[in-house]
Amino acid sequence: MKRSLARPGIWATLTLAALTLSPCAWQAEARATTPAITSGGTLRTAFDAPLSTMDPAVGYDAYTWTGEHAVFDGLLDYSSGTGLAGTQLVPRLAASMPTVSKDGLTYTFQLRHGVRFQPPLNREVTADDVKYSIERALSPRTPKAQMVGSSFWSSLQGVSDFWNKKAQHISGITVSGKYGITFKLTTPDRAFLNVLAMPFTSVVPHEWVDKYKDKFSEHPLGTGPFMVDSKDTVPGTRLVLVRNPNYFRKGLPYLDKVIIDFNVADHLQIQRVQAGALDLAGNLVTSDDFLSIKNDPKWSRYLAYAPDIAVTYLAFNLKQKPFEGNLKLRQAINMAINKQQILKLINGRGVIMQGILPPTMPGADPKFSYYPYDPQKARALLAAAGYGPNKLSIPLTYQQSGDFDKIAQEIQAELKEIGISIVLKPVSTDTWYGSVAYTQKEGPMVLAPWGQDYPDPSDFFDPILTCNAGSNAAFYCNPALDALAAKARGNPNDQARIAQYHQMERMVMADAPWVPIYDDVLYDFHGPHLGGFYIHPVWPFNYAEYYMMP
Amino acid sequence: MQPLSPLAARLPADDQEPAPASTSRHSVWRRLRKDRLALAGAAIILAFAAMAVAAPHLAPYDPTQRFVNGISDQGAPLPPGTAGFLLGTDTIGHDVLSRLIWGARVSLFVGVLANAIAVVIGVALGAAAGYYGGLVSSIIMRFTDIMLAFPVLLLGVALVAVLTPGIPVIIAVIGLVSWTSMARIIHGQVLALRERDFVEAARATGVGSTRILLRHILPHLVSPIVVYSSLGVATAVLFEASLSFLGLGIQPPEPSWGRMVSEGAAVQGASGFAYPWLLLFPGAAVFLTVLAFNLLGDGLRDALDPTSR
Repeated sequence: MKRSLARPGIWATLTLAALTLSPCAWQAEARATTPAITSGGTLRTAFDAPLSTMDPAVGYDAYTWTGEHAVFDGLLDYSSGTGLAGTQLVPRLAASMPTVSKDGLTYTFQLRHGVRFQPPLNREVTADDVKYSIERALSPRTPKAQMVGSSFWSSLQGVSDFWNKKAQHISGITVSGKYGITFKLTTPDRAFLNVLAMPFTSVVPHEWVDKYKDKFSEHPLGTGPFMVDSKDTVPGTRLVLVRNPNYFRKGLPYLDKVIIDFNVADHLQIQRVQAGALDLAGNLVTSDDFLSIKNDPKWSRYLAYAPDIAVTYLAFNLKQKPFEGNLKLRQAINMAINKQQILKLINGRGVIMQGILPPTMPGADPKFSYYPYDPQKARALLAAAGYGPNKLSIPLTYQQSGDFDKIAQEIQAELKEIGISIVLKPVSTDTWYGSVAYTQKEGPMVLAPWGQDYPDPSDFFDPILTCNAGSNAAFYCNPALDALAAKARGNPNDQARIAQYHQMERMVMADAPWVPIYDDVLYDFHGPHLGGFYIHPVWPFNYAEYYMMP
Repeated sequence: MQPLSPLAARLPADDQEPAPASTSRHSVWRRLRKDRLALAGAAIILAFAAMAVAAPHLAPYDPTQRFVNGISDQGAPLPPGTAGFLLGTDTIGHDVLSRLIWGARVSLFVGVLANAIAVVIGVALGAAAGYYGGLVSSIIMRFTDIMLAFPVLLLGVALVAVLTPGIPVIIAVIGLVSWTSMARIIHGQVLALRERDFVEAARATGVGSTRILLRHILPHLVSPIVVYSSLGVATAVLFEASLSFLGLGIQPPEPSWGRMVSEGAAVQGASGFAYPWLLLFPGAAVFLTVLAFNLLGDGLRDALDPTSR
């Protein structure tokens, strides 16, 4: 998933062994569902920027996923809980998990009966609504739809005809009766159910979409635990969610209301939580605030954390000078980056990465080390690349959010040591995802984060490193890698599949389109009255399960 | 003052162009010497200027060099007094003392040059408006009024935002938005001066307007220009600090006091002043510089114009 550094959402953890952190702190956040939960009350939280959209076909970052998950539901969802506990697929609008044919190509769902859309619609959800919503999310006619042409869906039968506007509908999706829906694939796809659990497939009512058309984002309506209170909501400034009286899960949500203020800087959020004016800081705790909270016994217990499955990396634009066609230069920079020091800058809250796959992802190779830190060798490589000392000046673009300012300055200092001068080009997060990231406007070098969409190694190659990938910050294209990625995606043999991912990691790092830097640990901060808080590996906030304590 | 035309030279003594009042170097220095505050201001300015000039020799390190051991193992900046870092380090691991010393260069250089631009524009426009009067004056002074009506900082921020930040741009922008009060003051002075007999006499002998402005009127403007420039430098230093504070001024890793305050303020943490030295030292440097220029400016005004006391 595209990540805002300030608030990455991630699908985390496959293995808890990943935890390099003390297990007792981990336990502390599982305070979660202790007895005597009181219903009612208002949760006050804030983000540093507005949600860019509330349209599930469009939103593709952790901010918007949090908002969409509160208002909409899809066929599938993830279990409650942080880390590994939150990665189990569970039926949501589906009555149960689907039946899968022997060949792994047909998935049949039965819908839960009696689920109704939020007021004022109040109509029951049918399988036609599910089909309509998925087709809408995949339709090239839907403005700004993110999933058009996405490799996530490539195994669904008839999807390319639909994208090419050769077909009105996706032939692989068929409805039977009021509640039955079937998906047909052309090849087995081990990630298909995870793809179905992404919020893009959230069920939306067609009459509401037709009524508001491109303004649907401002009038979102689904089946989720909360609905948007349009009376108190101020677009761009404040989003107010109130309890959905039609919600089908008994007893949920606990809260009557969630008030989300926008444009509140991360430092300010923490001050407001401490002053009692907010219950939860929506942005991650940055390294500037982290130590002072952690060293304060009064507040340190309201710090919650969860390991991330993500990579923060430096990408070289392979379609722009000076990196185009200059492998030695890319290798030189790979060997000049002191990852240990970068990790220290963020208070050691993460794990250093040498390859593409985060250490807890199956397929990651713990012994993998392509480019050790070696400034001496880096200088030699730089000279071999055709650049004497202090002959090269490169702009570095990054989103000015969280700890990126510090990390960018550290990279600048490290590259100065081998004789490359870096010009920092910070842009705001909205600009970053609105018009910079993954376009040539990035410039020659970017500091980019990627968090997993689902816990499968394919998610770190298919959407970001293949030739047609939508989020390919390096514009890396290697047909041999694409071919291997396609094979690995459907490979039923775990062992062979992992070997394929090892091989792919080596292929990519040999070409050095990136400097992988670290996989971080997420920290959030909340007030003493918020109960049941945990960082969900996907959403990342699950407002429906939090409650207020007196 | 040299008589400028043969005719003027032959005018009776009391009709000759008077020497600009009270600007004889000796009397000014005599009066200034008694003004302890002004001297203190001058001393501080000289000290900072010396620091700026000698920065390469004074600073223990390169201000943009970050030290791997410049942050604690937890990732916190080191406090003042840590071995090797007299005034501590910042959150990246730069030496604060070195940055403070080099920051004087940027701050004073920008302050002085930007103010010079403002003075040139302000004096030129103010003098032209005052001397020519009529339509010229209306156009120039209405334009000045329009500029005055804009909040200067906002205008500066808008200009810097569309241009690429950097020292030349900062200097130009500060100069271009802060000439208005100088123009107003000079305009008023010239309005009075142009009616004086010596100007009338010069005009009568056929001296051109430009020459009258430059050779006859300008010397009388020295005292307001000196006074208001010294105050203007203070404003320009503060302006640079504000722009850098907003992230629009000097770009990292180059140090300027404003940028240091900005970076320091951003990292104080939620529970108050976690790293006070990051704010205190550059803040004090800006404060002292602005105070010193104001004291000197006040002193100069009193010294140059005894009647103003």
